[in-house]
Amino acid sequence: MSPDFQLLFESAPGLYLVLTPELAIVAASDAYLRATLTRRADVIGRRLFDVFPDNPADPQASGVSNLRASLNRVLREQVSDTMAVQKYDIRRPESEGGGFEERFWSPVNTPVLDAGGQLRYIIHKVEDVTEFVRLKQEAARGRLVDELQARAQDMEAEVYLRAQQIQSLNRDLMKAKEAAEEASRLKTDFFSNVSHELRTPLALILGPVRRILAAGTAPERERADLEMVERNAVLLLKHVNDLLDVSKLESGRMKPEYADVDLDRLVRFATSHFDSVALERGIRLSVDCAPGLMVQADHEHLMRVLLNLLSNACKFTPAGGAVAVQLRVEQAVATLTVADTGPGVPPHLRDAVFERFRQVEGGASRRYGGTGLGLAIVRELVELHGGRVDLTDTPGGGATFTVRVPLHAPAGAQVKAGDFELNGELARHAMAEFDLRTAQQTDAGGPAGAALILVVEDNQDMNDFLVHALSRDYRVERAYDGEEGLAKAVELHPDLILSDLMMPRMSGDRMVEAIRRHPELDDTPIVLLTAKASDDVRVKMLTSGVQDYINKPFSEQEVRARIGTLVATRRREQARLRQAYALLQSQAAVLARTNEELEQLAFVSSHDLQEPMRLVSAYVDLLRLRIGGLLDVETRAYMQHVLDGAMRMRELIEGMLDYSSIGRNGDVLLPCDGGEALATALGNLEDAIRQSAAVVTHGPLPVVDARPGELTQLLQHLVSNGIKFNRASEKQVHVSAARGDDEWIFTVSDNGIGISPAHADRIFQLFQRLHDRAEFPGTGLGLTICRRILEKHGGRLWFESELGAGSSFRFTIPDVARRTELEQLHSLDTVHRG
Amino acid sequence: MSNCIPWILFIEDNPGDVLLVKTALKEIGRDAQLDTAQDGEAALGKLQALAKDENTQPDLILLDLNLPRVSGLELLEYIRSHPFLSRIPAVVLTTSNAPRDRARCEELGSTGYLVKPARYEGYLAIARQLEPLLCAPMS
Repeated sequence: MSPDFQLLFESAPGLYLVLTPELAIVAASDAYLRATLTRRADVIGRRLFDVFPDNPADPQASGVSNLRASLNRVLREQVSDTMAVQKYDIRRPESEGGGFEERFWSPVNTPVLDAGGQLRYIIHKVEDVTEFVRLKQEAARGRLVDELQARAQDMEAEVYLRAQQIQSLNRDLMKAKEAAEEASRLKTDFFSNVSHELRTPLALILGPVRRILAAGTAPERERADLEMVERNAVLLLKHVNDLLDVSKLESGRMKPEYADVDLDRLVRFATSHFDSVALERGIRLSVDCAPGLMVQADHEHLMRVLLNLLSNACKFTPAGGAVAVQLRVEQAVATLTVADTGPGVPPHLRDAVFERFRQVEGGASRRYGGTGLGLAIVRELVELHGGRVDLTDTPGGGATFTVRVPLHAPAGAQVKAGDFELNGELARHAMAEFDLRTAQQTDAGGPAGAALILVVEDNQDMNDFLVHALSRDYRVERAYDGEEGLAKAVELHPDLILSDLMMPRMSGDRMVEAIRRHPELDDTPIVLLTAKASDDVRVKMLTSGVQDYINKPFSEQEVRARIGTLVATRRREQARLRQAYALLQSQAAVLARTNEELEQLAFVSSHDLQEPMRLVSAYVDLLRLRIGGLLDVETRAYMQHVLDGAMRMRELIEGMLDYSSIGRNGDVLLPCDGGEALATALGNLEDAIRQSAAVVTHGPLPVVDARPGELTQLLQHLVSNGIKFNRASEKQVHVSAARGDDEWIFTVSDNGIGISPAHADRIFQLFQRLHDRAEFPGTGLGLTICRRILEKHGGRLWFESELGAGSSFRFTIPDVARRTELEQLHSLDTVHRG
Repeated sequence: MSNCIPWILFIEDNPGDVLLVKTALKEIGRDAQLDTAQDGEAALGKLQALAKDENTQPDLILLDLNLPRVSGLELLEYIRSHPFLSRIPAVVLTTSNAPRDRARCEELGSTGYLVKPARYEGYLAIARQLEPLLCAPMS
């Protein structure tokens, strides 16, 4: 039997198509159909290129035309033709998504001839090399991948590097954190170690001191000293305890020891200790407790909380205010409120006040002392109990602290049964901050006539200590803050001021500044007490007007020694100053007396001299009239000379009289109208002005404080000179005035002959004349008189002139206030010139 | 011009001044009877004597201020305090030109205040000034 060639053909492992010479498909292998995604029924009988066209979307598609060319060659030449690899786009059926699939085929077309040599069929055999081509393509793509890979590797390396850096930073951070924790631990350990070291000696101080006080055998002065020692040791102990607790709380070593606490009883116990403080400060303290309130808590912790809150409230509430303590229970929570009527806490600081060491008012002038640990401890202790503390406003002003603690200890905590003593020692510590003794107002007497020292110190004990140390040798006054210190310094003018630096209301350094602004306190020695030891603080103080400083703590001897030298030096200086002043005063007095005598002499002499001179001239005049006609020319001339001589003598004497009478009379300075004075002077000069045809003008002239006659004299002399020493064809004199510093400056200027500056000194001296009498008449006294007038008025006289260019004489009349100063200066000045 | 001879009480310690006044008065035709007192104390005595008799009063009292023992001002005060004397014109003739002295005399009620001149003409002028007060009818 012959094989089933159709079956064989269709199953053959290869892509076969059998074509007619018209290129219609008569057979196709299964493989071909599979590869082309077609069905036999769709392709048999159809023309090849109808079934497998080019991809219409691909303009470059050349598969079909190449195949056609190849098939045509086969048809023509009846030989086999192998085509190059062709890209075909196989149409995908719609059921598989439609479109075309890319295929790479390598076809061979073989003719089939019959016995007669006629071409009957073409066998189109295809090698599907799609995969192969793809592989090749991928090989090309592979290179790209390598590049990418390389880049990726670089990036990895960088990331790694970064990671390393972060890691090392982390390590550093870790180290820093460890260091900080270590430091904090050390600090805590330090606190607890040192605190422990501090408590031991304190206990050894307090013990014996209390023993002695209890024995009651100490004399009064020693008793007071011992009480001061006890008070301050207790205060120191309180601060140490606070620090110790803070460190314990920080390191978590403070664990509450729960017991059944009668909260009512505890509150009453604590508040009772503050009764005396409240009374002393004029504060109303009230307690409102729900009775029989039991709570499981650590009684010492609660006591601490309460004492700290009460202490705070009492510190900040002013006299007349109130502190109200209230205790309530609501739903298994005990609520304790402490409300005061003080200044309250501003909202932005409500949280901050609970911080360790935080004080709401910092600086040297804060009103209240303290370490700032109280509230921090309150919060920690309350929170240890699983409670909370809040700060709100008291209605009407003030702060209200509300503490809430659960009534029951946490589950599993051990609760001690039985009774316990309420700790009074804790309460005593709290009280140590409130010094209950009233300030002693009597100042310590010292030897009379001793130097006066002002002690400014807010701490009562310290104040007492200093006063006691100094009162043996000096008189001592005291003040308790900077403001009081300033007021007393101004009032008392102490010989020395000893002051603390940190004080309420006004700190020591601000007080020093304020004191130095008072000129009379400018050289009062000031010594500051300071605990601050840094160099820049010291330098600052020494350069700001403080003579010396003493570091705390100091001994009595040190204080006395430092103050001793300063006071002694100051007193010596003051004594010397007083002596010198006394000497000066006595000399000034002698001189004033001498001056007066001379003036008196001058006045009297000139007055007595005038009389005879007057008679001489009058009689010579009379004689001349009577017998003149009988005399010859020569004799008449003699008489004339006698007359002239007498006249001249009279003028001189008159001038001297004027000179000596200036300022003698103690005439009071009156407001003088300069214009009126000038008018009077011009009236007196009427003849001279008319004869010389001089023009005298003036600007506005002020009212000055002067002796009226003398102001007139002054102007008269100066104007007269201006007219006299003048050869101008139109003689001009101008009088004006201008305002200076605390004085009026007058100017009398002329267009006269001028004065050479070389004669500046001479012209003001007695009887000095620059010209002979024939040229210009005059006694030579005029300017001297002017100068004297000015001296007595506290003014100055000078001139500006050039030969041939006129002169300006200027003088000043000071205002009254300045005058007294100048007069004093002047009298000293004359001492000098003797 | 009446024929009366004026009677002047001139209280002045300097005879030179007295003569000048007398000469000047004579020159203007008033040859006066000059009664003088040369110091304050004597003057006071004379005034006291005059005060007793209201009918014998001089026409004018001229007085210097600068007198030994009792000053012109005191005398002026006395004159003005006495009823008879106060009716007599009292003119001060003195060297001082001080405003203070002028004011004081005016306060005390002097009739006039004259400064002793240095030239003879001045005395003539004074004499003319005083003339109306001389031989004036008593009021």
